[in-house]
Amino acid sequence: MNKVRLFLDTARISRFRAYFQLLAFVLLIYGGYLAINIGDQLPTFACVFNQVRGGSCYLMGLQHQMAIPWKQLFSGRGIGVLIGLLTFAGLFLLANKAWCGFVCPLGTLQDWLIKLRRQLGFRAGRYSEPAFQRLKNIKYILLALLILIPMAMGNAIAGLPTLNHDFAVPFCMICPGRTVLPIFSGDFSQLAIDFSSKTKMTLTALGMAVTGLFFTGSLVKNRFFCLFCPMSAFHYIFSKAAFLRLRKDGGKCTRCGNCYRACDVGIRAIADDVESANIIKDDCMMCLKCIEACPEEGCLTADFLGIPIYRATEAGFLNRLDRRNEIGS
Amino acid sequence: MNQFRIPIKTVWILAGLCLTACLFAKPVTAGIDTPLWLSLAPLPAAPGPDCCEAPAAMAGRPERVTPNGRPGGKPGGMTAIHESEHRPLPMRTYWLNSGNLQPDAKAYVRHPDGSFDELAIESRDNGLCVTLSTPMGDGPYHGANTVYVVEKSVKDGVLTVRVAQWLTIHHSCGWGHDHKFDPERLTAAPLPQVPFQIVLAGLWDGNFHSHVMSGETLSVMALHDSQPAAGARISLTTEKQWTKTLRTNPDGSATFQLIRDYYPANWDVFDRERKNSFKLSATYETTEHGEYAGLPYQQVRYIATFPWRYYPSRTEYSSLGAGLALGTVFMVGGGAGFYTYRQRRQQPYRGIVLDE
Repeated sequence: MNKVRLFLDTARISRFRAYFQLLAFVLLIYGGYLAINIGDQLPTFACVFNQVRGGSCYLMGLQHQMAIPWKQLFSGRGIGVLIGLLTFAGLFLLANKAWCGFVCPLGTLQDWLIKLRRQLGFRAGRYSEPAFQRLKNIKYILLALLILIPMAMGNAIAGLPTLNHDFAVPFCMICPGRTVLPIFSGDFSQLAIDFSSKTKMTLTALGMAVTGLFFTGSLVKNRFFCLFCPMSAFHYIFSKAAFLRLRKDGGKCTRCGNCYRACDVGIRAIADDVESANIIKDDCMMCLKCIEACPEEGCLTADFLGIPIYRATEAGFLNRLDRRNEIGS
Repeated sequence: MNQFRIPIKTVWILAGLCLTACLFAKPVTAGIDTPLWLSLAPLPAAPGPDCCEAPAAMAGRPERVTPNGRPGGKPGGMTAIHESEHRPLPMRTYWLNSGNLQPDAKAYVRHPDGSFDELAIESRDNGLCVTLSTPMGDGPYHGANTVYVVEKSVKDGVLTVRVAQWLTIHHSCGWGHDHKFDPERLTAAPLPQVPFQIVLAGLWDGNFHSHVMSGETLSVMALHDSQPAAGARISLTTEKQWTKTLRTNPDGSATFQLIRDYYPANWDVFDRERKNSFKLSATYETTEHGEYAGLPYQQVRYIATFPWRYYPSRTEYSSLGAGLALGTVFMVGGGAGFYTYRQRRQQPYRGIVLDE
């Protein structure tokens, strides 16, 4: 047991995560070829527009369900909506925001772009703290819009006329997952702009603009899109109750800042917050790089139902430092 | 000398009787060569020469509301003459274009799981119809259900078998899409009980989204007693009455290319989800001897019909080039913006250099 503990504490979680991400990517993008469908309420971007997907993103179903007239939503049809939400919550509670860091295909794509950026020699960018605090609110605005716009399709909100059907799945229309992920299965049709109506033209054009910025941003800023992701915002509603948690012992923190420097998203609170025990923030994707980079014994820990899975140790830190110096990576 | 004289009164009585018979008699075999059609809305009871679904819509008048629940599946409440693909209903009613059928006409429905039921042909005020029960939820009815009405009649030594087909997709996205991995569920397979039928392939994708579009080719097969009917005549007629007729190959198939038939007045009224109707009718003749309902026949003529729909082609309203151009502009523009920002943030060296 001690050997297992030692192995885990000194392991490079980043390498394990890279392989896990590859496996999840193949499963979610190509799983349909093997008749695999792991669920339609996944807490990750398994894009529905990819015809051979191995699962489906919950946001697509949520947007469709929000378009149900309220009279039906709060009657029998609401049971289906509730079941979908509970399924999503159940899946999320198992792995918390590790769905973002270990499973999300769009996140995996961004991590590959990070590697490409390093190869090309581009310097990584970081937001200043004031800019970070302002920009992180965008995902909540997007979450609100992806709920309210479909609602406005099925209901006359505040006496206003209902929106036309072209506003269906509004977030999917601008999500880079819709345009980029089907490319991996040979489907380029989502890159087109739909001129059939003004609404569709605007939404699909916006989607292509976001796609272009996605690639540029990902080559400049690590995990560029994750700061704006409404799925991340939706996760945070359930994050505190999840079984997998990221804990910090503030008493052991020396404020070295390694965790902040290692964080791809750029969450300063990991380093600054020495009060909270559950250190998960709304932008966190639980990649566990912070634990990997922490040199203080037991300061940061990822545990599942109280059982430590991966924790910061001095030996592990030095081991990973030595290996990094050897490899030069 | 007159050996045989018919009294004039008798002649007048006989003439009157004949006239009465002509006025009031409804010969059951009238219109037996008219294709039999199923549609969503009731049609005039008297069989017409070219009856088909919803002539009002094809004449450009406002489309009628389908009696099968939610009009056209559009939340905005637009009227339509087609069933909504993803708005399932527990009961569906389809109307025949003929006001009278042979008493022994039969109706069937083939379910997606391969089972079939016999349906009753009801006579209502608006005409003849069949009603189909499609329980909600993922089960044996989830998928393609095909309704058949089969009528046989003999006239002038020819047995005419008329078959009207209607295909309905019973699906809701909330029931899941697991059947995308089940080819049997995704195929509207023929029903052996029907002597002559039209079978189409590739009407929808794995998510039960109908994806037949203008410009695409459609492979149509005619089956006689579940075997390919070589040499059958299949006609495809669009909403604007463009018709193409082909004869089936030895394998019973014929391939049509769906022409564009939808020309909106301007961009504002263009509807990318407009369901353009088309009708398929197939005729097939064989030399068979037999007897039906006490009447002998030396030839059999089969007539089958199948209405379906197609959408405007994506190429009519979408542009991959425009999308790629816009994406590239933003990618390059974003990159230029980042580069400019970083260049401007570089501070020149401000140290004091002593020139000695």
